[in-house]
Amino acid sequence: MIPAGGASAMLPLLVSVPLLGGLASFVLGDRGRWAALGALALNAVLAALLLAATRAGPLDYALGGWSAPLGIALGADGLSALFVAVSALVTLVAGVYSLAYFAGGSATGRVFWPLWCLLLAALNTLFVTRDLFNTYVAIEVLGLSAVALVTLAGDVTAVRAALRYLLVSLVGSLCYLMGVALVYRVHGVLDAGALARISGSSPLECTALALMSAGLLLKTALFPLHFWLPEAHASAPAPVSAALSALVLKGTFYVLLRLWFEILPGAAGPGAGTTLAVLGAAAIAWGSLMAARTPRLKRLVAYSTVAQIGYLFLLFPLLGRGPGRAAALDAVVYFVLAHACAKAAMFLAAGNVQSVAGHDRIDELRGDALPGAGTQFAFALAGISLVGLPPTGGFAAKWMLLQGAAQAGAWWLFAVALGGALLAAIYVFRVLARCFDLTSVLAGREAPRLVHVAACREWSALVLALAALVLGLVAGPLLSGIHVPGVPR
Amino acid sequence: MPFTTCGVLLFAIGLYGVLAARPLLRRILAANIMGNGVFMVLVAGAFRPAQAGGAIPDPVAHALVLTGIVVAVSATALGLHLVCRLHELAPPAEDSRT
Amino acid sequence: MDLVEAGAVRPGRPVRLVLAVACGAVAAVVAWVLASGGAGQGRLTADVHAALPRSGVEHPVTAVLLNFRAFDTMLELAVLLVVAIATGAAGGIGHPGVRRANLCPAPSSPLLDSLVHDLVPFALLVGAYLLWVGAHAPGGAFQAGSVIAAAGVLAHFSPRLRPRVPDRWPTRAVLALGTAAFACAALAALAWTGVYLGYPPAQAGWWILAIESGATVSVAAALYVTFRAVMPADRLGHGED
Repeated sequence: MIPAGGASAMLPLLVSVPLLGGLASFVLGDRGRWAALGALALNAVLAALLLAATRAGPLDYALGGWSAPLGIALGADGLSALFVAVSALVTLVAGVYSLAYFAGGSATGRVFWPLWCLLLAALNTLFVTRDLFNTYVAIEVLGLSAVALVTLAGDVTAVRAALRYLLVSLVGSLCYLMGVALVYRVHGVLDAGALARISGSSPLECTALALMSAGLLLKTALFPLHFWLPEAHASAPAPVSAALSALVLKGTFYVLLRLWFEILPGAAGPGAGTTLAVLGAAAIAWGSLMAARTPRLKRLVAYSTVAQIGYLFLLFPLLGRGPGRAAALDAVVYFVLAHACAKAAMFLAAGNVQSVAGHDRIDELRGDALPGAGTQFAFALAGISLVGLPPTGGFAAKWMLLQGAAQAGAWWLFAVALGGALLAAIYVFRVLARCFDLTSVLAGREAPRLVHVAACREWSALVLALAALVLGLVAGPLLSGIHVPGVPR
Repeated sequence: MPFTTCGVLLFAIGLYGVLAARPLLRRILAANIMGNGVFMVLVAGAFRPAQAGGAIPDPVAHALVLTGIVVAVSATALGLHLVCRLHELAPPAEDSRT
Repeated sequence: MDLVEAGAVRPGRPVRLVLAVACGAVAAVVAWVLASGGAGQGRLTADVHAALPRSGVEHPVTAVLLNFRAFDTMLELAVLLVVAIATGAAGGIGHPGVRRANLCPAPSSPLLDSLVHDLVPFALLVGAYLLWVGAHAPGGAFQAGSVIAAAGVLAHFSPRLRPRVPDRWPTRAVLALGTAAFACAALAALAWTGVYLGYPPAQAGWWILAIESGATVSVAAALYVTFRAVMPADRLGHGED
């Protein structure tokens, strides 16, 4: 792997740019948010370039000139590029939102921007690294910065939720590290490429995969390991919730994908994928049920995340062997992309609602104390994507899911997908009904007074919701470049 | 081999502590013990008795453990800070132990 | 249902028993597979020793940490920085109006004062030595940084010698120095040799020493700042600077 200039050099730059942006914003203090935004914008440009470059084929880069397994190798294919791109989009737009969310010279703002950039640096590292231990360190940066960001809300609920999140995060990453230790014991290398060639299905590798999966599932919040998520995502500030639901969970999910289907493909037993699918179905049911019952808006959105994560795991049995692999991989990727945009939009909109109304109790939201039409439209559009109605990205993802299920003959997935859509509709329309609630107007009080939050807050929520919509229209061209070794197109 | 077993035991004891203990400080300490268990497994595997040229320990495993120790210390520090803040914001009513 | 306090309610006895059995089972399985799985090839040891002359240092662990797997070390410094940001620097994230409960008064005995006065310079010297010797013996940035941080912790307990941590940009620059040194060195290497993190082989030793110096300062500062964040404000009113 000769480090070529040009395209491959983007890979380490994807980590350097947010890292330097975070450092600059930390040192600069109050004016640091502009340094951070500059880094986010530059990162978005790099992500777009990466997306274009991986069309031609996977990229590789050996850091320091030391080829793996002695050194650490970076690599990106179409799958990584898409994950990097959606991270860039969500962090940039939510960053613009945060400009107005955190007051100019506040102490909270000064801490937010460096942590936000470091979160992005950790995400990018996760998506481009090809080394198992490097993944562990990136997971830790991700987890710790996420915990720190949750505490920015400042109240006791947030700190409590952050503590629980921290403990969960530690247990998860240590289980993952134990798995890495086992793999290193038996194979003596940590490089993904080398492991993909020499890994088999010995008991030690199965145990290692089990441990690593347990840790990563805990961090990705698959039912029943989701218990920490609703509080943590609901009590964080709105842009932080958006990043947590949209991106942080997907980071560890990406690692799971690579482990199961590329690095240790032989170690996953035949029943393991089906177990995950069953848990995914349970997640959809449980998350939707709790979302329909909870009285608070942000908690509703958080439970919706629990449900949507279930969809990602429904497809695991299809990704391993047999027909329908390509369609299943397309579906998984599209679920990630569409959910990231839609959920981030939903959280940003919920943040607007909370700022205007002063609270987020759903039943007390009145039509005349809601933010402007932009926020409501963004929430509606995001909700429609989550339910899976055409022509949004959520619909495209579900369509591909059903295609893969039909090809593999897994007819029960049809029932689950349909049921999930119905349940999602319940909780989405529950909120939307408040937007159309005009009882106070009809009772003779004054006309609805639409209070406006700062324009960039409305626009950023709207942009992400529109992105979820656009994703539904560009599914074909976007997906033609994904390539995961072992899953033929 | 005994060191490896000890490491695995520490891992399990720490895992139990995080899940089942009540005081927050104890759970953070249990997470530390879990980490130490993993590091012990890594270091125990680094010793290769008498391969071609005598017993040279594996430097990569040692470097991994050094990195891991720093990460564990950082995480513990964050956890302790959060416990302090929790006590500031919500002083415990009847139980004065952390 | 809303606020289940983390750690407030101890799980009941049957749940704890189940948990204990589960953890025991995990331990048994892992120990068994480790015992029967056998050791791997260990080829990385040979690779490291073969590449050692080109790495710029003589100690294999330092070479791995600062050259072969420098990316890991850079991220590890970022972990430390995240925690330093979150706990202490830039005004922290606490409510400015909340005073920490005085869990223990600040001791001020002449014995402690003289002990600190004698030990701190010695500790600084040991730290500097550890930094230097890391090239050819166990040592390096993290060990040196820890010793210097320990000196800071010791000095914290003597009101006369307590280090000041002003909330201004030099403090933040010191905290960010380690990660910044790594990131800038990586990009400088990209410009110089065309390879990210690829130090020029002839001067690799000096590059590593420069990075390690920055890292030592950063590690020591970060550890002290995080320590200070959990220490109570003393009742003489010094509190946080």
